[in-house]
Amino acid sequence: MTDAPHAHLDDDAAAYALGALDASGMMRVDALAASCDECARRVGEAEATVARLVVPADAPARAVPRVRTAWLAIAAAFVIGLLPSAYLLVRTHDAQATRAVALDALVHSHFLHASFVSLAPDAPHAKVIYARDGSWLYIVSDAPRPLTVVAEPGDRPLGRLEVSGTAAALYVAVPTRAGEIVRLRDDVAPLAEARLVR
Amino acid sequence: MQDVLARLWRGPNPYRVERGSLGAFLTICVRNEALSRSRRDRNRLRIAGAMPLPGERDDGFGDPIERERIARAIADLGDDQRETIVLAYARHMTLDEIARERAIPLGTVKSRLASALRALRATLGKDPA
Repeated sequence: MTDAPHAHLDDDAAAYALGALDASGMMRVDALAASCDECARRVGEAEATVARLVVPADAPARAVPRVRTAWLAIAAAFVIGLLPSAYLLVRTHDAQATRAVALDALVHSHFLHASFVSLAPDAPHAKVIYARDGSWLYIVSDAPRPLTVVAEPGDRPLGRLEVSGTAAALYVAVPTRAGEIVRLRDDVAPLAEARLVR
Repeated sequence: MQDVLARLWRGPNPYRVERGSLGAFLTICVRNEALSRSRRDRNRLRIAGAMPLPGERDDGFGDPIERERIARAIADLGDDQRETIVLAYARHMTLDEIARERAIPLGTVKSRLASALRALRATLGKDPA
Protein backbone atom coordinates (compact mmCIF):
# COMPACT_ATOMS: atom_id res chain seq x y z
CA MET A 1 0.00 0.00 0.00
CA THR A 2 1.14 3.51 -0.62
CA ASP A 3 0.33 6.64 1.26
CA ALA A 4 -1.97 8.59 -0.99
CA PRO A 5 -3.03 12.16 -0.24
CA HIS A 6 -5.91 11.95 2.25
CA ALA A 7 -7.24 15.49 2.16
CA HIS A 8 -10.18 14.11 0.17
CA LEU A 9 -11.23 12.07 3.24
CA ASP A 10 -11.82 15.39 5.06
CA ASP A 11 -14.20 14.86 8.00
CA ASP A 12 -15.94 11.79 6.61
CA ALA A 13 -14.06 9.43 8.94
CA ALA A 14 -16.05 10.69 11.94
CA ALA A 15 -19.35 10.55 10.07
CA TYR A 16 -18.51 7.02 8.92
CA ALA A 17 -17.74 5.76 12.41
CA LEU A 18 -20.92 7.34 13.75
CA GLY A 19 -23.03 5.73 11.01
CA ALA A 20 -24.13 9.11 9.68
CA LEU A 21 -23.17 8.54 6.03
CA ASP A 22 -25.52 7.18 3.38
CA ALA A 23 -24.63 3.99 1.51
CA SER A 24 -22.58 5.74 -1.18
CA GLY A 25 -20.67 7.71 1.44
CA MET A 26 -19.90 4.50 3.34
CA MET A 27 -18.59 2.85 0.16
CA ARG A 28 -16.43 5.87 -0.60
CA VAL A 29 -14.79 5.78 2.84
CA ASP A 30 -14.35 1.98 2.64
CA ALA A 31 -12.57 2.40 -0.69
CA LEU A 32 -10.32 5.15 0.65
CA ALA A 33 -9.48 3.13 3.76
CA ALA A 34 -8.59 0.15 1.57
CA SER A 35 -6.20 2.10 -0.66
CA CYS A 36 -4.66 4.78 1.54
CA ASP A 37 -2.70 4.08 4.73
CA GLU A 38 -3.36 7.48 6.28
CA CYS A 39 -7.08 7.23 5.47
CA ALA A 40 -7.21 3.79 7.14
CA ARG A 41 -5.48 5.21 10.22
CA ARG A 42 -7.92 8.11 10.46
CA VAL A 43 -10.95 5.87 10.00
CA GLY A 44 -9.54 3.47 12.60
CA GLU A 45 -9.10 6.31 15.10
CA ALA A 46 -12.68 7.42 14.63
CA GLU A 47 -13.94 3.82 14.94
CA ALA A 48 -11.97 3.32 18.13
CA THR A 49 -13.45 6.46 19.66
CA VAL A 50 -17.03 5.50 18.83
CA ALA A 51 -16.45 1.92 20.02
CA ARG A 52 -14.95 3.43 23.16
CA LEU A 53 -18.37 4.84 24.03
CA VAL A 54 -19.59 1.28 24.55
CA VAL A 55 -18.79 0.29 28.10
CA PRO A 56 -17.85 -3.35 28.73
CA ALA A 57 -20.91 -5.15 30.05
CA ASP A 58 -19.03 -7.52 32.30
CA ALA A 59 -19.64 -5.55 35.48
CA PRO A 60 -22.28 -7.15 37.70
CA ALA A 61 -24.99 -4.99 39.16
CA ARG A 62 -23.28 -2.47 41.38
CA ALA A 63 -24.31 0.76 42.95
CA VAL A 64 -24.91 3.09 40.04
CA PRO A 65 -24.11 6.75 40.61
CA ARG A 66 -27.09 9.01 40.23
CA VAL A 67 -27.37 10.69 36.89
CA ARG A 68 -26.95 14.31 37.78
CA THR A 69 -27.82 16.22 34.65
CA ALA A 70 -29.80 15.72 31.48
CA TRP A 71 -26.56 15.50 29.54
CA LEU A 72 -25.31 12.72 31.75
CA ALA A 73 -28.51 10.84 30.93
CA ILE A 74 -27.95 11.44 27.24
CA ALA A 75 -24.49 10.02 27.66
CA ALA A 76 -25.98 6.91 29.24
CA ALA A 77 -27.98 6.48 26.06
CA PHE A 78 -24.68 6.70 24.15
CA VAL A 79 -23.12 4.01 26.27
CA ILE A 80 -25.86 1.50 25.61
CA GLY A 81 -26.46 2.66 22.07
CA LEU A 82 -24.59 -0.09 20.27
CA LEU A 83 -26.48 -3.13 21.43
CA PRO A 84 -29.96 -2.04 20.37
CA SER A 85 -28.45 -1.42 16.93
CA ALA A 86 -26.95 -4.88 16.81
CA TYR A 87 -30.29 -6.28 17.89
CA LEU A 88 -31.82 -5.26 14.57
CA LEU A 89 -29.89 -8.05 12.93
CA VAL A 90 -31.69 -10.84 14.73
CA ARG A 91 -35.22 -12.06 15.00
CA THR A 92 -36.03 -13.18 18.52
CA HIS A 93 -35.40 -11.95 22.01
CA ASP A 94 -33.29 -15.01 22.88
CA ALA A 95 -31.28 -14.62 19.71
CA GLN A 96 -30.79 -10.95 20.55
CA ALA A 97 -29.30 -11.84 23.89
CA THR A 98 -27.01 -14.41 22.28
CA ARG A 99 -25.74 -11.96 19.67
CA ALA A 100 -25.19 -9.29 22.28
CA VAL A 101 -23.06 -11.65 24.35
CA ALA A 102 -21.12 -12.79 21.27
CA LEU A 103 -20.50 -9.23 20.16
CA ASP A 104 -19.32 -8.27 23.62
CA ALA A 105 -16.95 -11.24 23.65
CA LEU A 106 -15.54 -10.28 20.25
CA VAL A 107 -15.03 -6.68 21.18
CA HIS A 108 -13.57 -7.17 24.62
CA SER A 109 -11.32 -10.22 24.40
CA HIS A 110 -8.43 -11.58 22.40
CA PHE A 111 -9.47 -14.22 19.92
CA LEU A 112 -8.16 -16.54 17.23
CA HIS A 113 -9.95 -18.15 14.31
CA ALA A 114 -9.75 -21.29 12.20
CA SER A 115 -11.53 -22.43 9.05
CA PHE A 116 -13.44 -25.68 8.99
CA VAL A 117 -12.06 -28.37 6.70
CA SER A 118 -14.68 -30.17 4.61
CA LEU A 119 -15.28 -33.83 5.36
CA ALA A 120 -18.19 -34.20 2.94
CA PRO A 121 -19.14 -32.75 -0.47
CA ASP A 122 -22.05 -30.77 0.94
CA ALA A 123 -20.10 -29.26 3.83
CA PRO A 124 -20.79 -25.54 4.32
CA HIS A 125 -18.04 -22.95 4.46
CA ALA A 126 -17.60 -22.22 8.13
CA LYS A 127 -15.18 -20.67 10.57
CA VAL A 128 -14.71 -20.87 14.31
CA ILE A 129 -13.67 -17.75 16.21
CA TYR A 130 -12.50 -18.59 19.72
CA ALA A 131 -11.10 -16.88 22.78
CA ARG A 132 -7.37 -17.14 23.22
CA ASP A 133 -8.01 -18.14 26.84
CA GLY A 134 -10.38 -20.92 25.72
CA SER A 135 -13.45 -19.45 27.41
CA TRP A 136 -15.79 -19.22 24.41
CA LEU A 137 -16.39 -20.24 20.79
CA TYR A 138 -18.30 -18.47 18.05
CA ILE A 139 -18.99 -20.54 14.95
CA VAL A 140 -20.23 -18.85 11.77
CA SER A 141 -21.37 -20.62 8.63
CA ASP A 142 -22.39 -19.23 5.25
CA ALA A 143 -25.15 -21.83 4.88
CA PRO A 144 -28.54 -21.49 6.60
CA ARG A 145 -28.45 -25.01 8.05
CA PRO A 146 -29.02 -25.80 11.75
CA LEU A 147 -26.09 -28.22 11.99
CA THR A 148 -25.06 -29.83 15.26
CA VAL A 149 -21.72 -28.80 16.78
CA VAL A 150 -19.67 -31.30 18.79
CA ALA A 151 -16.18 -31.20 20.29
CA GLU A 152 -13.53 -33.92 20.38
CA PRO A 153 -12.31 -35.65 22.40
CA GLY A 154 -15.44 -37.09 23.90
CA ASP A 155 -17.90 -36.14 21.16
CA ARG A 156 -19.22 -33.45 23.50
CA PRO A 157 -22.33 -31.73 22.13
CA LEU A 158 -21.90 -27.94 22.11
CA GLY A 159 -25.20 -26.98 20.52
CA ARG A 160 -26.83 -26.36 17.19
CA LEU A 161 -26.18 -23.57 14.68
CA GLU A 162 -28.92 -20.98 14.73
CA VAL A 163 -30.07 -19.89 11.29
CA SER A 164 -30.46 -16.19 10.52
CA GLY A 165 -30.95 -15.01 6.95
CA THR A 166 -28.44 -16.67 4.66
CA ALA A 167 -26.06 -17.66 7.46
CA ALA A 168 -25.99 -19.60 10.70
CA ALA A 169 -24.01 -19.25 13.89
CA LEU A 170 -23.57 -20.55 17.41
CA TYR A 171 -21.96 -18.83 20.39
CA VAL A 172 -21.09 -21.05 23.37
CA ALA A 173 -19.21 -20.09 26.51
CA VAL A 174 -17.68 -23.49 27.27
CA PRO A 175 -14.03 -24.15 28.15
CA THR A 176 -11.90 -25.64 25.38
CA ARG A 177 -8.25 -26.65 25.14
CA ALA A 178 -5.60 -26.34 22.48
CA GLY A 179 -5.71 -29.30 20.13
CA GLU A 180 -9.41 -29.95 20.53
CA ILE A 181 -11.41 -30.47 17.36
CA VAL A 182 -14.80 -28.89 16.70
CA ARG A 183 -17.04 -30.71 14.22
CA LEU A 184 -20.18 -29.76 12.34
CA ARG A 185 -22.53 -32.65 11.62
CA ASP A 186 -25.99 -33.27 10.30
CA ASP A 187 -28.19 -36.16 11.40
CA VAL A 188 -26.12 -38.63 9.42
CA ALA A 189 -22.42 -37.84 9.50
CA PRO A 190 -19.74 -35.23 10.24
CA LEU A 191 -19.50 -32.57 7.51
CA ALA A 192 -16.55 -30.41 8.55
CA GLU A 193 -14.04 -29.97 11.35
CA ALA A 194 -11.64 -27.37 12.71
CA ARG A 195 -8.75 -27.74 15.15
CA LEU A 196 -8.32 -25.18 17.91
CA VAL A 197 -4.77 -23.95 18.44
CA ARG A 198 -3.47 -21.35 20.87
CA MET B 1 -24.36 -10.23 13.41
CA GLN B 2 -23.29 -13.48 11.77
CA ASP B 3 -24.52 -12.08 8.45
CA VAL B 4 -22.01 -9.26 8.84
CA LEU B 5 -19.20 -11.64 9.76
CA ALA B 6 -20.05 -13.99 6.89
CA ARG B 7 -20.06 -11.07 4.44
CA LEU B 8 -16.72 -9.80 5.74
CA TRP B 9 -15.30 -13.26 5.51
CA ARG B 10 -16.53 -14.00 1.97
CA GLY B 11 -15.60 -10.64 0.42
CA PRO B 12 -12.25 -8.91 0.10
CA ASN B 13 -10.85 -8.28 3.55
CA PRO B 14 -11.57 -4.63 4.40
CA TYR B 15 -9.59 -4.75 7.64
CA ARG B 16 -5.97 -3.54 7.50
CA VAL B 17 -3.50 -3.21 10.33
CA GLU B 18 -3.30 0.56 9.70
CA ARG B 19 -6.92 0.71 10.81
CA GLY B 20 -5.95 -0.19 14.38
CA SER B 21 -8.29 -2.06 16.70
CA LEU B 22 -10.01 -5.09 15.13
CA GLY B 23 -12.60 -4.99 17.90
CA ALA B 24 -13.51 -1.39 17.09
CA PHE B 25 -13.66 -2.26 13.39
CA LEU B 26 -16.10 -5.13 14.05
CA THR B 27 -18.18 -3.00 16.39
CA ILE B 28 -18.61 -0.26 13.80
CA CYS B 29 -19.29 -2.81 11.01
CA VAL B 30 -22.17 -4.33 12.97
CA ARG B 31 -23.58 -0.97 14.03
CA ASN B 32 -23.38 0.52 10.53
CA GLU B 33 -24.99 -2.57 9.00
CA ALA B 34 -27.83 -2.35 11.49
CA LEU B 35 -28.34 1.33 10.70
CA SER B 36 -28.25 0.68 6.95
CA ARG B 37 -30.86 -2.06 7.21
CA SER B 38 -33.03 0.09 9.38
CA ARG B 39 -32.88 2.92 6.84
CA ARG B 40 -33.48 0.58 3.92
CA ASP B 41 -36.53 -0.85 5.59
CA ARG B 42 -37.84 2.62 6.40
CA ASN B 43 -38.16 1.32 9.92
CA ARG B 44 -36.58 4.13 11.86
CA LEU B 45 -39.15 3.96 14.59
CA ARG B 46 -38.03 0.45 15.47
CA ILE B 47 -34.46 1.47 16.15
CA ALA B 48 -35.50 4.69 17.84
CA GLY B 49 -37.91 2.72 19.95
CA ALA B 50 -35.11 0.43 21.06
CA MET B 51 -33.11 3.37 22.39
CA PRO B 52 -33.88 4.62 25.88
CA LEU B 53 -34.57 8.32 25.85
CA PRO B 54 -32.43 10.58 28.03
CA GLY B 55 -33.25 10.02 31.66
CA GLU B 56 -35.72 7.28 30.81
CA ARG B 57 -33.68 4.30 31.88
CA ASP B 58 -30.69 3.68 34.06
CA ASP B 59 -30.44 -0.09 34.32
CA GLY B 60 -26.86 -0.39 35.46
CA PHE B 61 -25.55 -1.64 32.12
CA GLY B 62 -21.76 -1.64 32.13
CA ASP B 63 -19.28 -0.31 34.60
CA PRO B 64 -20.91 2.66 36.36
CA ILE B 65 -17.58 4.41 36.93
CA GLU B 66 -16.68 4.15 33.27
CA ARG B 67 -20.15 5.21 32.29
CA GLU B 68 -19.94 8.32 34.39
CA ARG B 69 -16.51 9.09 32.92
CA ILE B 70 -17.95 8.95 29.41
CA ALA B 71 -20.96 10.96 30.50
CA ARG B 72 -18.71 13.71 31.80
CA ALA B 73 -16.66 13.74 28.62
CA ILE B 74 -19.83 14.23 26.58
CA ALA B 75 -21.14 16.83 28.99
CA ASP B 76 -17.88 18.77 28.56
CA LEU B 77 -18.27 19.06 24.79
CA GLY B 78 -19.27 22.40 23.33
CA ASP B 79 -23.01 22.84 22.85
CA ASP B 80 -22.83 22.55 19.05
CA GLN B 81 -20.59 19.49 19.17
CA ARG B 82 -22.72 17.77 21.80
CA GLU B 83 -26.01 18.44 20.06
CA THR B 84 -24.69 17.21 16.70
CA ILE B 85 -23.15 14.01 18.02
CA VAL B 86 -26.32 13.19 19.97
CA LEU B 87 -28.36 13.50 16.77
CA ALA B 88 -25.92 11.27 14.87
CA TYR B 89 -25.16 8.62 17.47
CA ALA B 90 -28.16 8.43 19.74
CA ARG B 91 -30.81 9.46 17.20
CA HIS B 92 -29.22 7.65 14.26
CA MET B 93 -29.63 10.62 11.91
CA THR B 94 -27.62 10.98 8.72
CA LEU B 95 -25.60 14.06 7.82
CA ASP B 96 -28.36 15.26 5.47
CA GLU B 97 -31.03 14.78 8.12
CA ILE B 98 -29.03 16.68 10.72
CA ALA B 99 -28.31 19.51 8.29
CA ARG B 100 -32.01 19.84 7.51
CA GLU B 101 -33.07 19.50 11.14
CA ARG B 102 -30.66 22.17 12.38
CA ALA B 103 -30.71 24.30 9.22
CA ILE B 104 -26.94 24.31 8.92
CA PRO B 105 -24.63 23.41 5.99
CA LEU B 106 -23.61 19.78 5.49
CA GLY B 107 -19.96 20.71 5.91
CA THR B 108 -20.70 22.23 9.30
CA VAL B 109 -22.34 19.00 10.44
CA LYS B 110 -19.28 17.02 9.33
CA SER B 111 -16.82 19.33 11.03
CA ARG B 112 -18.82 19.36 14.29
CA LEU B 113 -18.91 15.57 14.38
CA ALA B 114 -15.17 15.37 13.64
CA SER B 115 -14.27 17.90 16.32
CA ALA B 116 -16.58 16.19 18.83
CA LEU B 117 -14.89 12.83 18.25
CA ARG B 118 -11.44 14.43 18.52
CA ALA B 119 -12.43 15.99 21.84
CA LEU B 120 -13.81 12.70 23.18
CA ARG B 121 -10.69 10.85 22.07
CA ALA B 122 -8.49 13.40 23.80
CA THR B 123 -10.52 13.16 27.02
CA LEU B 124 -11.12 9.42 27.15
CA GLY B 125 -7.93 8.13 25.58
CA LYS B 126 -7.75 5.09 23.38
CA ASP B 127 -8.50 2.34 25.87
CA PRO B 128 -10.88 1.97 28.80
CA ALA B 129 -9.43 3.12 32.11
